[in-house]
Amino acid sequence: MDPQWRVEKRYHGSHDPCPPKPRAYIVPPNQYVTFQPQGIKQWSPREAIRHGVLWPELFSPYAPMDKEVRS
Amino acid sequence: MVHIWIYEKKLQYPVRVSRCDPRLAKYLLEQYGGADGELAAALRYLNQRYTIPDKVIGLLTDIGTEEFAHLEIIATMVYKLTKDATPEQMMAAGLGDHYANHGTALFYQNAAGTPWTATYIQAKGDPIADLYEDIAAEEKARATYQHLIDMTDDVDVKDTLTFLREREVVHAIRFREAVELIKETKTQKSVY
Repeated sequence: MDPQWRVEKRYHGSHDPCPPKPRAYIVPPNQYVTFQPQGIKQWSPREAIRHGVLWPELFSPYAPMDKEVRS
Repeated sequence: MVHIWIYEKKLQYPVRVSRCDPRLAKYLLEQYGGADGELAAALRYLNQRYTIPDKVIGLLTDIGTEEFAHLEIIATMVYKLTKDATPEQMMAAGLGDHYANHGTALFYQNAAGTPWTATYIQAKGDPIADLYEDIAAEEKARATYQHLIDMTDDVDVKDTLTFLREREVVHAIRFREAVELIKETKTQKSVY
């Protein structure tokens, strides 16, 4: 799992009705970029389209939480 | 007036949910953020206190506070029924539009997804009018609990809902006593 995910093991009561699902949220790398840097590395256009972002430093997986956390 | 609430970190009545049924959570929201729900009740009574005759202020404080305890009970049931639901399960339970806006978070809205509004409650500044609204609110909440009980076969949920229904009945009786108290004249002897 991508380390950008924060997974929290929640209390699950012995009588809770549904099978447990961990709580997770993502903290993407832009949260750590306070000022926009200049001249950072760029992907090629084809790579950028595939990743959904031009800059590798700002890449976040964008995968659905359930699939990401359960895998 | 000085008011202090003391919070005890436990529910007024235990909550156990034995079936994984997220659809029931949708229906329970009627008592969370609905017109006759617990939030509306608590805010209605606690707000009316300031202009109600002195001898029934304490009653409104007690019942308004208990409604917050009931709000927590409903919230706990909704949470248990939705906290482990996937987006697919939320959609299958009719909670797709809820998930689009709130994920699995709780929100003050009714079973149909209409957000809570202060237009659900009234403070008329007339003690008879206010107390009759309160009696009506309790009877409507009792009827809502009956509907919810009729819609589930989860015996543990039924147990908690039955307790809440009973409390609405008790509150309605107390409010009707309050009407008798404020109707009394100084020379009349109280029969209570």
